[in-house]
Parts: sequence; structure tokens; C-alpha cells
Amino acid sequence: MRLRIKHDTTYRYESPISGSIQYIRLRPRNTTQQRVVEWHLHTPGDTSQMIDGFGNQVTVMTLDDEFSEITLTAEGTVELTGKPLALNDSVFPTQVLLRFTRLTEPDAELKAFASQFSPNKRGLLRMMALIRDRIAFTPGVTTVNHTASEAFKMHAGVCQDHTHVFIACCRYIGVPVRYVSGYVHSHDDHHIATHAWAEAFLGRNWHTFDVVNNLNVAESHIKLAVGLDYLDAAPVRGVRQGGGVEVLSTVARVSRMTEAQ
Amino acid sequence: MQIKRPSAGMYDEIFDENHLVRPHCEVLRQWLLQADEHLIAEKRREADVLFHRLGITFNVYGEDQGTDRLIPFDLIPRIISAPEWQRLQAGLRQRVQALNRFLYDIYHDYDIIKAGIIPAEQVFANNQYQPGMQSLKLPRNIYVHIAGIDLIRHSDGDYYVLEDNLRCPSGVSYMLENRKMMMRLFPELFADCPVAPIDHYPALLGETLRASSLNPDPTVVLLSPGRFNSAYFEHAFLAQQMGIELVEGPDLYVRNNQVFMKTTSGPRQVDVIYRRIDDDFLDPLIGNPDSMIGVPGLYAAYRTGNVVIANAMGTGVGDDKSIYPYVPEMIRFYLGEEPILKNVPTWQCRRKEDMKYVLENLHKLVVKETQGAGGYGMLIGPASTKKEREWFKNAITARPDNYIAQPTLCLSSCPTFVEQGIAPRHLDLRPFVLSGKKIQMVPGGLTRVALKEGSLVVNSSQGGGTKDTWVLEGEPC
Repeated sequence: MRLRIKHDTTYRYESPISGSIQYIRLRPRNTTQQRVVEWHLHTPGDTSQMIDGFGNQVTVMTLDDEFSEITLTAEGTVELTGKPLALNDSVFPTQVLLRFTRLTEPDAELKAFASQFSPNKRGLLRMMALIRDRIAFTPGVTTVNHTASEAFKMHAGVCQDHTHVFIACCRYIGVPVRYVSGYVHSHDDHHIATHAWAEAFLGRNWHTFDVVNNLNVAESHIKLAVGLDYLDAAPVRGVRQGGGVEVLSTVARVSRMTEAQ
Repeated sequence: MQIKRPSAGMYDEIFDENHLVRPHCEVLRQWLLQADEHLIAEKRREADVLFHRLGITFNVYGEDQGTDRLIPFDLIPRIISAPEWQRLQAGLRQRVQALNRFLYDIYHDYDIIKAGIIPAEQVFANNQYQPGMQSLKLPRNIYVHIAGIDLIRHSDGDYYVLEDNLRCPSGVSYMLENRKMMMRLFPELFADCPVAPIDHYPALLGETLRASSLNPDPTVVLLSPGRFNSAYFEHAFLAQQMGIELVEGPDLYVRNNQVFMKTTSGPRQVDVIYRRIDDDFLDPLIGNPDSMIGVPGLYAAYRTGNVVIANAMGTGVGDDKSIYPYVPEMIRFYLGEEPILKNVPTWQCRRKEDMKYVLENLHKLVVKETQGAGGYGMLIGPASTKKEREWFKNAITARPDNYIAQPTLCLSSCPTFVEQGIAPRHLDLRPFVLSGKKIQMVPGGLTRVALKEGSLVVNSSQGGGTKDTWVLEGEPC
């Protein structure tokens, strides 16, 4: 399956910013499950590249002039192979993924919840379904600073929160798990196409757990970056000088290409 | 002057078991015998005034903001004989070499884990392990450019390594200032006694930092969190001594994966950053997003090999107290040598049988948090209250992997000025080991002394003081 992606991220500032530096993770890499046919990342600044410790391709963008608005556009074509996840494509030992982070440290309530599941595929599938049932998909109630435990208490959140809750529980019961940021294709064109899910390492294999969609396969997912949590894999992390209040808008479209295209 | 002798069973640095002055400390005996009480009192006051004028004060964590306190300085030096220092030096070189090899290994090949010597989880799930260091090539494979190794001498007369400080070890400015103070107050002592000089430490440190870069003529800066940091005096002192810029985060910026310093004559590229900031605060785009003291983009410059950070990121896993018990094995594994310096036997509470022993013997043991530092989060069993033991029992049961325990060692003592004359007080020793083209150190280190009678906690934040440390060259004086 060949997917066409167009993703605009726009920041509008109350007053002009006078400078900025950003780490942008909006460049998919070739994996067993995806082949990048073509890809372009347009930014208004100067860019350089690095590969971070997780193996993510990071574009470092700097701005030195005044801007009231900046737009990052990622677009391209990716071929999904339909193959399963690679046996172990982790650049480092999976035990690193057992580590709690500020966003994924479980509190007593989350620990109690996690304890009822066995650290195997059946247990994790059941856990995924229960997390999906408990946390209603509700945009706008949580921010990137909300922790797994907070989202669990609120019974509400977005894909990032579902994924953090799942990650916190997996690590608590001893299953190495990583956060994945990317795109997902859905037949409903109005569906939000930027997405987050988890990959857990069970036995000798990686398994996809897309909690929001209660899915165990990555059949229509394009992977951008991985990490211990959102902060490692975030599409954009940056700092700026000035600007005041910022308004962020994201439009991402993922469409399936026909043979003719 | 009244000199209280050490009690039986203790090792004293000056007096032997028969209360006779050890041969290499003879100079002290004569000095103390002749010393006039009033003169000494006068000199102590002089030292206080001088230290205040210098501004060697430090901020104590956990106290009200802005409480600068003077670290008490004791006039009686601690003396180490030449052969003893030779042995310590060889042991320190060996240990730091192995620790650097270990840090390279855990970010590249994992040989020591594959060999089954250290459990993978203890290394990789450790909070101090930095995934961002994965496969990063560093010049000369040096991670720890500056190590502060804490040594104590037990009542058996032998030295033990208490802990390795591989992140931002501090205290070297006190070592240097203490010597200057002694030379100023008692120049005649140095005329009579072959004390090895230490004033070339800043030069050695500068040489080490320059050697860490592939650039033959690198620009080196010292990155400090700023004047509210407890060690700010030291940052300013070392930068000034080395003739390098003392900078704070906002003085640096990153463009095209290179680090620049703002100067009055325009931007200047920076090759080496001697940082005195924790890993998590170095770059808000990779670590703590709220860090105001770091440099946004610094990680990208580091990752692409355009700047050296000393010490490297991710060295904390090497000085974590849960990794400490494996250092002797590291020395055997990487160097094929027997460790010269001893480790303190350690119970790891993460092991069920160890935890059981620890919980049953809390009153006898010293319990430490695996990632604690500065004498915080520590229980000294024999000096503890029932309430404290109860607190630790709960804490250990809740997070066994956060705690280790060791036997309560009897730190050696040294005569020290106290309110009633001179009495023995316990002390430790922190030599500073520099890794550049080769491993170097100045003789001795920082001697810290617990000023409270019977106390074994030497940390300055817990009421400890310091002494000058003399390593004798050649024949005892």
C-alpha cells in the first residue's frame, strides 16, 4: 500500500519571535514495514541533520530573523510493505525501555491497575482494550505535560495519553516498551492523521499496540520516531525568543494512492 | 597544648597504636609541641578572615536560600608518605581507566554484560544511562575527564574506595586554597618538609580539557549554572586559574550544529565545554524542557562531534552505587589486572537475600540511596534512632533497587583543633584524577573531616570541614 502524506504545522505568535531553535522529527526512515519513496521537509529556517541516540532522524532548524508565523511542511510518499516488525531493530538493549520517565511513572492507582495483567501478549491485549475503554478519546483536555497517571485519573485524553498509560503499565510489569510517533491512514478523511502508539518487546519480537484504535497490527501506520516517551519522539521540540502566546495548528492528511498515481 | 589521643581500635593518621607519632609525621609533633596556644588561636582567626575575604563559602542545600556558610578549615594537615601515595596513585589510575572502558562499553559493545558480569537491567534501566550517548564516538574514548574518587582508611589500616564521583566532582578549589592558606600562615613548615606541590592542578586540568578535543588549539569554556549554585566559587576560581571563559547557558548558542560563545568581538566557536551542570539540564530540547541554564541545541552539536562535553553525558551510570560493587570485576575484565584499591563490601537490596540481611541488621549498617550524593538519603545504623530505622525499612521495602548497604567502617582519624584543644576526628580523602592523553593527578586531594565528635559524615553540607593534604616527597622529614 502506497500512502501520500501532507502535514503542515503552523505556529502563530502574539508578537514576532526574534529567534528559535527546534529539533524536528518529521522524517520517516526505511524499516521492514515502510519504504520511503520520496520525502520533503520545508522549513523557514536554516537546517542541519543529526541522528539521535534512538536512531531517529532529527532536523535541527534555527531562525535568526523575526517571524510572526512559521510553518513546517512535511510531505512525501511511503510504501507500506505489510511485513511484520523486525525481530529486533532497537539500536540498544531493550532493557533501556524498562525505565520510567516523569511522564510514565505510575502512581499507586495505575500500579494497581497494571498488576492485574500478565506480561504476555494476551495480557497486553486485554490491558490495551481496558485502557481504551477507560480513557475516552477527548482532544483538548490534556497537554503534552500530562502524565500517564493524570490521564488515567481523568478518564480522558488523546493518543499520546493512551500510549503513556499503556507504557507505564507495561514497564511496571516488566515489559520493555517504546513510544512511537507517526501517521496513521484511516478511511475517514477527517480523522486526525498524526498519531502515537506503542511497541512492546515480548519474548524475541516487537509487537504493535495502537491503544486508541485497539489494534495489534501496524497495517496503515507510518513511523516517524521512537523513544522512551513523547518527549524523546516529539515531532517538534523547540525554544524561541519572544513571541508571547503561541497558537499551534496542525493539518495532516494521509491518503491512499491508486495504481495510476 | 592538650592533645587527646585516639581511642583503641581506631586508626589514626598521625599516632600509631602505641600513641607514638608515626615517623613520617615527625614534623607535626615538633610543631605541635612548640606551638603556643595563643599563636594557634591567632592563626585560626587569621585563616577565617582570609577565607571570608576570598569568598570561599558555599550554599547548603535544604537551608534557607542565600545562606552562605564558611567551610571550616583545620590547621593540622593530614600527611601521606611517599610510598603510600605511590600505591594509591597506581590504584586510582587503574580504577579510572577501567571506569572509562566500562562507560565506552555500555554505549557500544556491551561486552561486560554479554560476559554475564553485570546484569543488563542494572546498567540499561538505570536512570543515569543516557540513550542519547548510544554509539557516539568520543575523542580518545574518554568519558570521565575529571574523576573524584572518595577514599577512606579503615581501622585495619588499609584504604578503601567509598565511592566514585564521575559526574561533576567538586571540591578541588578547597584543596588548592587550603594549601595556599597553610603556606601563608606557616611558611616555616614548608621550608623544613618536602611537601609535594599541588598548585599545578589548574594547568593539568587545562591540559586535560584541551587534549579532549581533536582541534589542536581548541577554545575551552567552563559552563556554570550561575552564582546561585553552591559550587559557583569553584567555577569562577578554576576558570580564572586556567585562563578560560566562565560562561552560563545564555552566553552560548548553537548554529549549524556548532556551539558559539557571544563575545564583545563577535561569535567565537567553542570546542570544549567543561560543564558543571547535570546531564538533564544541558539541553532543554533533549532533557528537562524547563531548563533555563542549558544551551538549546547543544546535544545536536555534541552528537555530530562538533563539541566535547567534559565530563561526557551519561557518566552517572558509572558512579551509581548499584554499579559500584562491580568495579573490581571491571578492572579484572577490561585490564586483566587485580584491583589495587579495595572496595567496601556491599549488600544490594535488589537481591532478596541481601535485603533480608539489611533489614535485620539496620542498626549495624550504613544504608545509602543508589543515586544519592552529598550525604543525603543515608542511614548510619549505629548512630540512628528507631524512627529513622523504621523510615528506611519502609523505604527499602518499597523500592529495594534504590538502596545498598555497607558495614559501618571506622574512618581513620587525625588530630584536629576542637573547642578543648586537639582531638581525633574522622576523615576521608578525595583525589582528583584527570584523564587526557594520559591519566594524571596532583599528589593528595581534598581531605574532609567530620568535626563532630564520633561523626562519620564528612560532607561539607552536613557540617564537615577540610584540611590541607600533604604528600611527602622522598625521605620523611
